[in-house]
Amino acid sequence: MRCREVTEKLSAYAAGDLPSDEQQTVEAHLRGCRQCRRDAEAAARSEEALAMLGAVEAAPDLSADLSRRLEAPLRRRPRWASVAATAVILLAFLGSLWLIRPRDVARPTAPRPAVVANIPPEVEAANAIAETMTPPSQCPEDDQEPEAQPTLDGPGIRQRPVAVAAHPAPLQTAVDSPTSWGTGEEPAPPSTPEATEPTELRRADEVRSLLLRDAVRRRALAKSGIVFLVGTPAEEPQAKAYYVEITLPDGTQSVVEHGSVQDVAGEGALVPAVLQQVE
Amino acid sequence: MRSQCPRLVARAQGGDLAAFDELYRLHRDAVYTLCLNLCGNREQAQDLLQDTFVRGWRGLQGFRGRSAFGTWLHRVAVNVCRDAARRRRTQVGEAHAMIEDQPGDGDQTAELVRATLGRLKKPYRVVLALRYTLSLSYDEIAETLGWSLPKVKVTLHRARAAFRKEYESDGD
Repeated sequence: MRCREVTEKLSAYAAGDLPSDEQQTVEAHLRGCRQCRRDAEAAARSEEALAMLGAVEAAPDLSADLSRRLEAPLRRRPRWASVAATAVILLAFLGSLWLIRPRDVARPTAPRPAVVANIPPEVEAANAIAETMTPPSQCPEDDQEPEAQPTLDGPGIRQRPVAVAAHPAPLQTAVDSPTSWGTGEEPAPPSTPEATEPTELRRADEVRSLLLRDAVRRRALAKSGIVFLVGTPAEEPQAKAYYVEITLPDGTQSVVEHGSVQDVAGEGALVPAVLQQVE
Repeated sequence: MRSQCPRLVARAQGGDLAAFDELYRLHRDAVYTLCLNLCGNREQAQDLLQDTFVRGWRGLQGFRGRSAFGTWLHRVAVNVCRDAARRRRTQVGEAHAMIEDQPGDGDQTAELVRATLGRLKKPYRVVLALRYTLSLSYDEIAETLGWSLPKVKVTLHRARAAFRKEYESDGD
């Protein structure tokens, strides 16, 4: 055993904590090494000193004082402290309610097409909520920032002029893809005539649920610069038929209405193609 | 005497102050010495002794008997000393100075040892105090501090080396 190894073990050796075989090895080394012997003596002195800590001292009899302290009731906070704490919690709760309230007055004032002048209150509310809220979703990607969505950054998107996000949507309300509107059918490729297959869209609450359901897609659509509006035709304010109007960044408008897809610009395959790309 | 502990603890957990007073008499010397070795000041050690038993009384319902009552109580004492040191921001040098300012109070060599101990890092101080004040085994130290056995061994080894270095420098 070398001096360095022995030095490492001297404290344990002096304390008697070494296994017997190691103790014998150390002792054998010490017999032949004067320097390590001196270190071992120092370790022994140190050990003797530490042993003095074991001399347990008689504690003063404090039982009378201790009994008084044990019998004394626990000091309680004054009543005003608990009242103040309750008030603070209540204020914090009210403040949080105020912060998460819908902000319909702060929306951008983009000119709306004349066709959506008559928007029923419940649909208007859906639009407002869709702008401000992130609904609970099972999708783990919902917590990501919109910039993190790969959908709009892919090279395939940039090759499609209709899906390029040139500017933020002034009145963005997302519309789900035809696939998630309840038919369960995959959208057909844009090049085929089946691309204009009807898609079910029957009630306003259905529209609302679609708007609020998928935050990822909503953010992606908003970033695409496409404007979505939900409403009833201006000439039929009492009509039960709801529609979604889609305005592309290049000004092209499409309308999803009565469960069917109609491209007012005349390119029947455009809307599903855009939705498919954005999705 | 220590064999009476479980019965006394059970009675104390039921609110019997006389039983807890008996526990105090059984353990006070060990706890006091531990506190003294950890803080290095007799007056403060008395306060810490009381604080340990007051905290022990209030936390007695949390004692499940998984370890010996003494082990549990020593852990309380170590925590009380640690909290007191934080509160008072006791400096290592202060403890040393306080001890040196008390001539003739107890064995001088023991005081010097405590002063040396007071200059060590806190973990070193604690393991040395538990090992040499209470003669706890490595396993008992591990249980008291909630450490692993290897950690106890390594810390104790380093603590001894640190103590020896300090103690030798005092002698120079």
